[in-house]
Amino acid sequence: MTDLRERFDEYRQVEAPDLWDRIEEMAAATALQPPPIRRRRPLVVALTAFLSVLLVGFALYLLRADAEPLAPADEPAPPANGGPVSTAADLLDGWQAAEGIGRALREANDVVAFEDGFVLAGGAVWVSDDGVRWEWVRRLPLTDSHGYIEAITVGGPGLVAVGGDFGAAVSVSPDGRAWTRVVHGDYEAVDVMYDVAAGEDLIVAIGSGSEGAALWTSPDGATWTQLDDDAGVFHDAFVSSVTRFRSGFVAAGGVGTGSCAGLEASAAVWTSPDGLAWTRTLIATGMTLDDVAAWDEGLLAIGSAADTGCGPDYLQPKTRNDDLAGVWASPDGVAWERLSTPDFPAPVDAVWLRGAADVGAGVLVVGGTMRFGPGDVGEEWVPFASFSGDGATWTDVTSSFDRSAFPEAGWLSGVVATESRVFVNWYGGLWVWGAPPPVATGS
Amino acid sequence: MTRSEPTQRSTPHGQVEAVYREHFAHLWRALLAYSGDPDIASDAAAEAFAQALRRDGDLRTPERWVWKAAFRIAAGMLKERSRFVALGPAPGAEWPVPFELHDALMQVSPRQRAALFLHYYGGYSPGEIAELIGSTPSAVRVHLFRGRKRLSRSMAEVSR
Repeated sequence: MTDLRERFDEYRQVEAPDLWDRIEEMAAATALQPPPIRRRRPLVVALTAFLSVLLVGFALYLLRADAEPLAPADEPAPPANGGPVSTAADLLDGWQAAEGIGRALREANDVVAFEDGFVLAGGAVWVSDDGVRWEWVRRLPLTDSHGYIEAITVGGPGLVAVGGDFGAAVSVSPDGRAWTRVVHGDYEAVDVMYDVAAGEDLIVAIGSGSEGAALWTSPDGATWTQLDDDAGVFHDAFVSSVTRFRSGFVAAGGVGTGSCAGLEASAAVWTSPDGLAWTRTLIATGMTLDDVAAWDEGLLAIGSAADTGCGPDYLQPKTRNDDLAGVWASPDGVAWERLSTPDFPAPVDAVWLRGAADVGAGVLVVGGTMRFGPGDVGEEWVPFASFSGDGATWTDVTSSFDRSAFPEAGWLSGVVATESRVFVNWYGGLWVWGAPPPVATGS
Repeated sequence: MTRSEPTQRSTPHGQVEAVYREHFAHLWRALLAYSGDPDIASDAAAEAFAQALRRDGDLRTPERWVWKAAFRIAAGMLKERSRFVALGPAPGAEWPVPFELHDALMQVSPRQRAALFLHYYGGYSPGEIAELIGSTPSAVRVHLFRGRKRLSRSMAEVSR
């Protein structure tokens, strides 16, 4: 097939009109009229000015006191169950909005615990000691184009990050700060790499290829080999997530192409004992899976109703929770049982469950819900998060996140649990649970 | 009508104009690929920027806001006019377009078009595309996956 990028670049020859004058006229035609100017009595003006000065001075005093670096309190001891969360009630409080990420810098996609801190990656790379305050370390490696990282894992020489940059891209780092691009794939063969997982002896990355999903393996993070899918288990499939499971790997996504009928898509799971030989299992119709995570000595997978992808009515509104999204569990990756579905805030037209993680006392699932806008055109996604200790009873914890820090947040795009922290990210930022609250130093 | 001089970037008006100078052409081309209609592209883009000006500084990220607004406005116009396959430029109109690709693009759904264009023309990630067109990254991945296959078939037919 002809290089798509070259073909789309032909659009650059299409001259766009200059509409700025028209835009200014449109804006002025409906701009609000300014409020009338009112004359005030001199005494009122003087009192207002005096109070304003007092308020400004007080605010400056407070800011000056807070300008000193904050020393973190002692780290709390992690609960005995191995995860940072002991009870469902824990998740209802204690979330902090991450600082230093910067909304102008594209997306925040994945975070890992590394050595004594954390590394966040997406449209750039950030590092942090406590998971709250982040330091931007660099733009994406080696190019000044639109490169981005979809997922990051500890492995190889330190860290391995996969994503896209007009073709699949893999980069490695020993410390989270110095990065080297090791792969920049053929755009036609492998478009984007979406996830990566490191096993004992092998690193596996999954992505989108020309005939379906693509899978790469590496012994060291530096040299990669694309898997020959002779058995066709990845044909006509898209894989969203891969995770290490026991001594092998599990991947999750969907199968089904061509038709505009979303019901023809099926939720699929792939298992492999070694990262090289894979077996596919279809577990549901009308849904595709977005994440699979280790949970309760087995696995948990989450998915949502398949997008029809055709026409302006691209999502058929559904009313039953079970038709909107699903949660499944498996002891071995092969036999899957559907669990109860979280309750979604009604009314809702669509649900997207994107991430799941075992946070210690149970599983936290995040994503978003959507209502069609006026005229069934505009879509408004809002965050959604739910917790379950047993897979049967769910507690909505969406309100736990301080939306004032990120008022523009739509869907939540991931959840990661480390020994001491839980991270929930959306497109432009991050919330963190488990970090000690800041303590002001004495002045 | 004379072209107005760029306003200082420090003012809200100047910020929106700066976004216009940097992004309008790309946005217009994306809307053209999405809608297949240069009039819809112009109307949607102009309305989005006009609304941004009316907000008078009440936008945290004007660039992202304008892109999202423009696509939603264009989606509304498409729905209203029930246009899914463009017939090409109006008689007498003169605008150069890569017709082979354009004709092939018109055979896929509007969202697939938007995803394909933003990904292959702009290099945007599925997450960014989802933000721009009001979708989810998963849906965008499906749009890209299915759109690529349908586009390749359509281009093969157009090339015959």
